[in-house]
Amino acid sequence: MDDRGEPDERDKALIEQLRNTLQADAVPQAVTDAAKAALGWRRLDAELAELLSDSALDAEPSLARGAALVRSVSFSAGKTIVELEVHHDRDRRTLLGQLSPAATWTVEVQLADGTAVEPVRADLLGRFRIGLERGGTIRLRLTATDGAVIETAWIPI
Amino acid sequence: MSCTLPEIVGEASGGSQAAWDQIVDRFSGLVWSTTRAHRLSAAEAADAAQSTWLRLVEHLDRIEDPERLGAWLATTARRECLRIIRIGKRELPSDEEWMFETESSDAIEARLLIRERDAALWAAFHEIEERCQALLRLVCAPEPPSYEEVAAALEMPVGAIGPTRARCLDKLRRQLDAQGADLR
Repeated sequence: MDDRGEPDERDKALIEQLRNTLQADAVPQAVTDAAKAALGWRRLDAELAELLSDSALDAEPSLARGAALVRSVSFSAGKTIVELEVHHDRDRRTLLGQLSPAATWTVEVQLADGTAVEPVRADLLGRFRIGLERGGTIRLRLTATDGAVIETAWIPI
Repeated sequence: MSCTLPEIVGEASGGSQAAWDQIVDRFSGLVWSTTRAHRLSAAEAADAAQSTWLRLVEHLDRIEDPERLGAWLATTARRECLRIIRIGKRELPSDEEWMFETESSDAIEARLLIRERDAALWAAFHEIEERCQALLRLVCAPEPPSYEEVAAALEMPVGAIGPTRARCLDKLRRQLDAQGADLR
């Protein structure tokens, strides 16, 4: 068999049998349904705040003694920076955020499963705090007093 | 109905649910196999898959090379898996999560017991090394992925896939022999 060649007949037969067996672990319907529903989260009126950094994506997680166990994530849209700390307490999550430059944005957490969370207002220094009953895949939707809207990239928390 | 991937992506970007459904139907096997190849629990794999699809929705209007969408999805799914693994390491799973995992793999095995031959192959598959399981899961996805997509899902050189696949199938055969299983 060459590097990019087809498998031989014997291998093909085994692949076919394994494919049938692994059907038992096929894509669950709920996963496909959720994937199809994801189109509903298309950005229509908002600017995307791209992921700038996520400590959970760092190549080498710090193993230093006393290294912070708090996950930190940041996003940027133009000159607006969103910094987020994710704190865990069993199922509960607390998001501590900092918007810069500081402005009185309204901050809403959107959960991918459609659950709504009461929006909060960032304080004069651009800080905000949001509590969630449990983790999930979330994004923040920020609305400025002048009507500008920013949505962050999705992150699992 | 459009047929080329760039057209479908363009329509989905414009909000066409039918076009988006086509994309999901075509690649959901690839995304799911990628998440399962990373040894996530069923619940974590579902989260990683959902994050992958959300990321595509986020970037629909800026996909530079729609022909390579499969490889992009596989790469994205791999990254989402690594992120979920990292997050998970900081938390101790609750009792319910462990129970969920056990139940789900039991359920899969129960379905397999309908056919003894499947059960033997399933058992042998789980005995071979993880890297081989990961590759074979991808190779055996319902819509067979391209070499480029498999390479992206596993962060592996394209040239290594053919030889590794042959070696892993040999290992699977030897494991079946060791179990005394007859596949016919």
